[in-house]
Amino acid sequence: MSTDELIKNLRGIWARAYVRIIGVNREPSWLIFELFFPLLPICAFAFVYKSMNAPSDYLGFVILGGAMTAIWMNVLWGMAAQFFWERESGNLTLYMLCPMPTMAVLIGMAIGSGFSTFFRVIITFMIGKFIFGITLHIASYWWLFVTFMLTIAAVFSLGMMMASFFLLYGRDAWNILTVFMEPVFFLSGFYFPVKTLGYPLGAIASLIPITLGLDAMRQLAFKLGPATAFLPVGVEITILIILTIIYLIGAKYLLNKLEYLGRREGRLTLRWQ
Amino acid sequence: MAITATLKRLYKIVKSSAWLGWQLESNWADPLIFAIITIIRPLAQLFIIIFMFRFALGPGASPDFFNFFFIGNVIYLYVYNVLFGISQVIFEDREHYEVIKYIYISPVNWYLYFIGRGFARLIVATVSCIVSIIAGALFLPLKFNMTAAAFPAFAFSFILGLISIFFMGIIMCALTLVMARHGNMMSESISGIFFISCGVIFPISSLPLWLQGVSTAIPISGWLEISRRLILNAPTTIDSVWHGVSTADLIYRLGFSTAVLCVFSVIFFHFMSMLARSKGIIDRTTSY
Repeated sequence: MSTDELIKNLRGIWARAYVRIIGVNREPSWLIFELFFPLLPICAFAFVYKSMNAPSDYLGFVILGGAMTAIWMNVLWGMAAQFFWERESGNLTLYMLCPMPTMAVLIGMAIGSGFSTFFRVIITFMIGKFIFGITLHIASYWWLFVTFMLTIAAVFSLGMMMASFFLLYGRDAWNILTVFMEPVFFLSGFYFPVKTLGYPLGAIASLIPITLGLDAMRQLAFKLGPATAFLPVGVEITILIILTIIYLIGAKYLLNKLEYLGRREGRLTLRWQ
Repeated sequence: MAITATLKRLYKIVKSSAWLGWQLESNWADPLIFAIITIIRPLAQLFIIIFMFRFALGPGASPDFFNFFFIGNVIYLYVYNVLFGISQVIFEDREHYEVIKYIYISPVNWYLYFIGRGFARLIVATVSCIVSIIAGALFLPLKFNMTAAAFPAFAFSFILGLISIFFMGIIMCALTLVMARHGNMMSESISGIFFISCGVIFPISSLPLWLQGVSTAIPISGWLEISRRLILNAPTTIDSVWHGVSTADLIYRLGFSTAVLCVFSVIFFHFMSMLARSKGIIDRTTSY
């Protein structure tokens, strides 16, 4: 890749990320809903534990898991389904006409979403922590930060891979995407430690990076975390790095493949399918 | 004669819009895939709570907890689907398919059109509900003791509850008439607020005191309590906030609130549709 091409790609990435970082904050109601929305399941599930007189760390598990739903929702609707919206509004055609690869658009979207989601998760977690009075026992701030960042990287790489499907498919993929909400909240242990599922099911769930990210963060942030660990933190971090690389390569491959199919079958501009 | 003809016509509107809603819900996939997708979400929701119980209480958890959350969770499927479904129709017709102006100028009663569209979601909720009951019977230590004598009261309260959420759905629908596309977050949030405040998966008595008063005033909370009492054949449940209120009293309250909602939904819907028309935003597409 020449320097000119590299600069062009970087400018493309920044252009798409800019909308996500700056643009979304121009609509205050979005910001309110994005912070407020994850709080609803957090409160509901925290009250379930409260009604059972469970230890306060369990409430902490729920609050962390609930805050992380913002990431998953963003990946599903802000990343994976984004090309669906872009096609419906006519932007997808413009992306294709731009003198930059579609991969740059996807990376820009991922970086922009990752950046804005980072702060939303932290704010939601802090609000939840304040409401329910949770005490944290941080084993290592550095590793907690690293795990959080790696989780975001791995999850958004998965989102990039999922986005490719919307170059080809429409309402069917949109509906199937809705299946990735509650079942993923269940499998990834958003509201209880994934160890409770048992190792075989937990191993399958580990393909969703949030599963391991959440488990590692709970181990690093709560007193009862290590007692409910699925795998040691080091192993989980290593797997997260591997998953990030695999999903990035997968995203590149699928994007090329499905873009070609979309062009050949004339589906890139097809609306209401 | 004229009344019969009018009723027939109104029935046709509801039937046609329900059919349209069903096609929109289901015709994007073959029936097997559609069935799997319809059942997988409520099942996952159910399993989340089952595993939370297992994690927090271990295998020896009291069946009272399971009975309580299971009934609440199953009935809430109707609340979520109908409430969210009806308000979502505006966004689908206006923003996505861009057909709302054609529906508006057609000779159908708009209010009934939206009621009809809600029926499609009612079917989806019923399927999810049946699957959840089967899963609950297989995986949970449920103890349902509903007597034959209690069934008419249960059926009556259930129909009242369903009617009330249709009216609530219309109120939400009326609000979304004047909102941009991202207004669908509002209906999701309202559903979420009901999920917390109506004691769906935990007793209202676990909520802070100031919230308990609000919670008991929402008709859905009473509906859930009536259903639990009649299904479990118990004079009260583990939710102490309802102790001292008889089942008959709860049914009376539900009937009264449904009547109020009926009147309010008609007036409010008419007002909001006039407002949307006067602002010229009935067919506005916002694209953000």
